[in-house]
Amino acid sequence: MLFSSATFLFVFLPIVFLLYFVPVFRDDKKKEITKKNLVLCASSLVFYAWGEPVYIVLMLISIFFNYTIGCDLDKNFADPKTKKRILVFAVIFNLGVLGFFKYYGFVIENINHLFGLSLTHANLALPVGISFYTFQALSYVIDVYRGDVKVQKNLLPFALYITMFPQLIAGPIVQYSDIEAQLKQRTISIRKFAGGVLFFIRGLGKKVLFANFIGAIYTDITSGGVSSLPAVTSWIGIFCYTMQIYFDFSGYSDMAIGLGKMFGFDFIQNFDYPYTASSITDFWRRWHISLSSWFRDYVYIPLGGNRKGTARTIFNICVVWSLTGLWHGAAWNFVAWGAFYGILLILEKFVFKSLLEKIPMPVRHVLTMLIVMIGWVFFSSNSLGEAGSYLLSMTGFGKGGFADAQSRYYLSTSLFPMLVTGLSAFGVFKHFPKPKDKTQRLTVQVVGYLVIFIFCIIYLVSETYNPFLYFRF
Amino acid sequence: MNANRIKELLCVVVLIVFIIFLTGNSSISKATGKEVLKAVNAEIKISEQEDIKKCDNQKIKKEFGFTHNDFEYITYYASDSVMEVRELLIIKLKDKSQLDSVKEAIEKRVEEKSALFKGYAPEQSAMLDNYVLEYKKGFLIYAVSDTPDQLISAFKKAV
Repeated sequence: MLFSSATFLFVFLPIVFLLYFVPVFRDDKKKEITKKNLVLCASSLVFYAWGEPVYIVLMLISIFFNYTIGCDLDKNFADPKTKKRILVFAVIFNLGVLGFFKYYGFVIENINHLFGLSLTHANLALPVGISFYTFQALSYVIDVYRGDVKVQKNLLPFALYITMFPQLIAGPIVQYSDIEAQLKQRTISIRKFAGGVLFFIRGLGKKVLFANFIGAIYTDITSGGVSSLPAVTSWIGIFCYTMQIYFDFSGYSDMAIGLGKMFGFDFIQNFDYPYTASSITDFWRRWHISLSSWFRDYVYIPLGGNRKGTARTIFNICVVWSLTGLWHGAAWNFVAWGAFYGILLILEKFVFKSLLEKIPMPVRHVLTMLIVMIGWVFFSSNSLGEAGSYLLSMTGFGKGGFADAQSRYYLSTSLFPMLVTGLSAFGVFKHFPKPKDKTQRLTVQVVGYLVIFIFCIIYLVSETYNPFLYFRF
Repeated sequence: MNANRIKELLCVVVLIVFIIFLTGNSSISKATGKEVLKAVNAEIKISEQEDIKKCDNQKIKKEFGFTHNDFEYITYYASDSVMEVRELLIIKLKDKSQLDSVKEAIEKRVEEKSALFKGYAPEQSAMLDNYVLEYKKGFLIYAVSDTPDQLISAFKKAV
């Protein structure tokens, strides 16, 4: 079920709200929060089962296993050897499940290709959201092992942490420590609910009005193949994809954060105007923050981070970025995308650091943006070969040359949407003057969001197919 | 062995059984899109019909709103004539989460097309009423055809 579908907006969500907010235990806060957790957990399982019911079994196994591991770690907390053995077992189990469902086919196909074998493998569908909820489960297990969080002895709040539908499918990846207290007690108020609604509408607008619209231009450009694209057209195309992926993914994250707020939860911010970054390091502090934080906290720092000398730091960066690439998908273009950023971050940290500091800030912004756009070529392509063809087209040395009549057509018809999405992604609109009077400001805000919502609904009624790009990870 | 360890091992056992079950009933067909198209085409000979031709990605986007990159395989045959309703769409999904929205988009399109023909073109309208929309093992077929039953059976055999 998609957040931007009529079924979700007009059937699923109202039913969940009704069950969640109608109080059953008015005088017993503890029982009431348990009821709320139960409603949210059950509705999350329904939400998950909507697309692929069979994989609910896998999610239940993951919940029960990681919950038991938590209890086992707590029981053996004073025994470092046993504790470590349990952790290793839990990590192998979780990564094993993720590896099997996500990478098994990829590995077998590569072995076949490399050694000329013809090993067969079952073609299994990728369980939706597996990369996200596995990382959440691992964050809990590792935090309990380290003693950073208390063990959760109640299965329901733990199951809710893993299944919570607002962020189940495409994040943000919520670390257990960030949400532990909220599972027991959280502020549910009209003010917070209203704030959540605004977040949700903003996300819906980003997805429906910006991402879908600008994405259609990219699709149109690439639909006839990428090898014969002229340079100008291919740059327009990748700019549109750059905007599409930002508004698509940050739109989903805003909707998730908004839904969380409506139910009384506070999730971490996942994007902070990433295209305003002045370096690649800065970009990754602003893009998919929850994933970067996860790799920093559970891979980079435990490996020694930057505390063990230059060689070790480079090694650690390589490990983190190979994993980041692979996390996004079992394909060589994702591995190349991860390696691309790994190499750039190493160069930025150890080779060009002093040079970068001397470059004027506007030039740094432009350079970062160009590099990010080149990175998206690997990400958006179906294969490494296709990425290579697209990059060649961008240089002007491809079959399509520099520009043609179609380039001029795209330039004239796409300039306005490119400008609007670009300015919005660069955060220009947030600096617009706002009314000083509180009532006026509120009126403008409410009317503005209402207009966005109405436009989204009009679009959704006419266009039923609008998937999220990050769903397949 | 303590209770927690038994529960953990139980999870491993249940997981293995689940994987065996899944691989035994593989949820995605090993057939390629081209193989499925060939099998279906052998039955309804759509590629041999003069007025119906294979459409490009832009046409698919225009007609259904689908982007070719969203799927492992997509092919669409239709006519340029506004009075011709016969068409064939075969999609291999990347994952099953796409199924609902894809089906919804196709159903909506059929509804709109039916409304256009209702009342003045009974033959076309009847064919549209008997449209085929089937999902099996990762493949989705949508077709408006004179022989829907043969088409379904050919599709099911192929995947």
